[in-house]
Amino acid sequence: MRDTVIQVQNLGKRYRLGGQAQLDCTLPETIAKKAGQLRDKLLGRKTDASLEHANDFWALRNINFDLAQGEVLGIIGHNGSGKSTLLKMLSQITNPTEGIARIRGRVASLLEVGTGFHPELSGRENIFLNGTILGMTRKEIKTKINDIIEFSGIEKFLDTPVKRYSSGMTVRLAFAVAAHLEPEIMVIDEVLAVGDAEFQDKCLGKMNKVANSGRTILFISHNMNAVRQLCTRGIWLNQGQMQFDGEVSECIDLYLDAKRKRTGKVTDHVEKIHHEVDLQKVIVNGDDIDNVVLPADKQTLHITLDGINNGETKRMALEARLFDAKHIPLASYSTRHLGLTPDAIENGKFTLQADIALPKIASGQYYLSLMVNDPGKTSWAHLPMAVGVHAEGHTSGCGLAYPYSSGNGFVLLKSATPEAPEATEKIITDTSLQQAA
Amino acid sequence: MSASPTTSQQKQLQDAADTASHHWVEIKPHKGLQMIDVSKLWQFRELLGILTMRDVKVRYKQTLLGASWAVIQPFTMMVVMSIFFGRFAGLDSKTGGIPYPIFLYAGMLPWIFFTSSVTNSTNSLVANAGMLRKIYFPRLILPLASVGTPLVDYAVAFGVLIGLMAWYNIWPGLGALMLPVLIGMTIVAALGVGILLSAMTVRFRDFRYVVPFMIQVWFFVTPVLYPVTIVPEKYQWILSLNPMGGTISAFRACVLNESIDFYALIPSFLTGLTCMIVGLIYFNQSEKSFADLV
Repeated sequence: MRDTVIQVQNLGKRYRLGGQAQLDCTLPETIAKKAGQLRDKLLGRKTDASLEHANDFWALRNINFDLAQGEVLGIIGHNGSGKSTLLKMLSQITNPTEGIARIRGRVASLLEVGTGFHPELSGRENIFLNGTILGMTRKEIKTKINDIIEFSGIEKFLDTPVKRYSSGMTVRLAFAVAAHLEPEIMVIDEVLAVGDAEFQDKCLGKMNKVANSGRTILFISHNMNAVRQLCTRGIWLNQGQMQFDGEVSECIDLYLDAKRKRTGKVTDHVEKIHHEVDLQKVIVNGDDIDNVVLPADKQTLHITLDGINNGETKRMALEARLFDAKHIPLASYSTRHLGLTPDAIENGKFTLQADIALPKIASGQYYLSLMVNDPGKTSWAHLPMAVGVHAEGHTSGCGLAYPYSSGNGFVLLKSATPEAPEATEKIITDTSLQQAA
Repeated sequence: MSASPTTSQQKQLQDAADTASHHWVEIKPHKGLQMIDVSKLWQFRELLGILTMRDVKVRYKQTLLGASWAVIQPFTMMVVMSIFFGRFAGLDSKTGGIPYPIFLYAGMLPWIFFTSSVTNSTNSLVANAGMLRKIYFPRLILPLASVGTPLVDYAVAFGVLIGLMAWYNIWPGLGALMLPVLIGMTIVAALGVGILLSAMTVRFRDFRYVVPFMIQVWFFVTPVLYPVTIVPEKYQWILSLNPMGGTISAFRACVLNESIDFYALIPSFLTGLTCMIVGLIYFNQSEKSFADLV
């Protein structure tokens, strides 16, 4: 049994919301409030407690866990679920309102990449500045500076002020510094969400190394693949409460399941619709909710659309377009390209169907737009970004689990040789699934 | 990566584990008066150094004249004020035989150091809000580091003072040995006010508007333009309650080879020290909520 390095008991953080709270009030207001409290105290009155509590907001409450040395803990949850607040408290940046946390060992927090970077200073000067801010000693930075420079890949611009850097270069430099921190306990908040995809992969690789070197890590990410790979244990936070604490795959599955249930219906996203057409139900991969998860081995989309035609016969075809997380169109599915004629839909109920085979797409978030068209002529209905598609990516099993992420392109290409590829692909997929499970 | 990452890492981990094995850091809600953790400050001394260096380096980046601005400002003010206050308003006859320009300049130096220190440290927390929100370090480092730049400017402008003294053929005596002490007192006063105001600015941005105004008023109740002797004697003690009052007079007396009025200097210093203590207490009490409020 390894030593416990972090103990968290009943930790909670309360914020005050609203105008008369302790946040953002002006001096006269505070004086008036304090004077009021003093008067109430002197006169033995009770202050209006209910009024104060109405503005209270518990960002986090009843958090309990122990972490042993070498454990890599992933913390997942929606935005605003209290993840960052937890890490901020453990990093001693904000103070808890109740409970206690005890930490043993040198902690480095990486809540943001490039904190304290100064635009007027050169890259080299900023390495020292940022490194010191993150808790490295000058001596430590001096011994690592060559590694840092090499990792960042911007040797040429080291003596140029950072304000002349592109934002990508700044991020690279900042991450290079952060990646060379070597504390016993590392607290990391969503830092992989920066830089271009290639650099993200590099960072993930570096993180993997750090995770395997026996350090204790607390890691927040919305990138489930990264969490799955790096972490041994997962905590799912929901509205400031601990929803689950345990094995990482189970944690992620529960979280994603809950995420699916919570979302709306596909038909909520109808933006333009012809007055004679009515959409009743859209089912994507068996559910009418606007979010699907695509496992690595099953990258197909089955779409069924039920509607009513209140007018005369129309020609209709279900078309789809796939976008990436930044809403850049990636792929299109259209009856026209397939050389099909759209169905003639008579007055009354109708059903349209599309079964789309996706190529192996990289892990990440995508969006699917749906359209009911008479291609090239009329648009009957448009549902932009109607379905969130979370692809789990294609994982290969050579040594380290390796995510097929968008750094290598969005689509994994097949070999043109007829026999081999499908078979290997199958094997690879199986190993990766075993690893994930 | 270095050639043998695993061994060096393991060694570091081992070392760290050894030193860390007895030491638990507790994070809990704070109640009551907190002590200032001097050992924490010492532990973060490199951060203090590098933040000071950052401000000094950045100060005159992309300027044509660079550090000469540290001289141009007090020198120009000295020339203009010598003409208007010294000559036209007749203050030059009240300095007890000391040429008014050097009288004025010797007062301006500590004053400019004081005001820019107060201004810088007042703004230091809000200006570094990003760091406050994302990094743990003793927050006191920020107002402390903001005194570095004014100190460098002070040193540069001091060079000109030496030139002026040579020009007017004034040579300092043993009193000059008091200079480091006086500079230390000025730092205490400036930091005292700055630390208090920086913490208050985090909560009440009003103080960003109060400070420039406060400094203007303060200038006229401090014997920079005039010697204390123009104030009726029975009111002079009020001036020496001003943390900069006795200090500036004493600084001037030091460099101009006159005797220091300790009856004015000591009350000044005590007020400065009181500011410092009050500032530290308030700062320490509110420090924990900076990240939430800033």
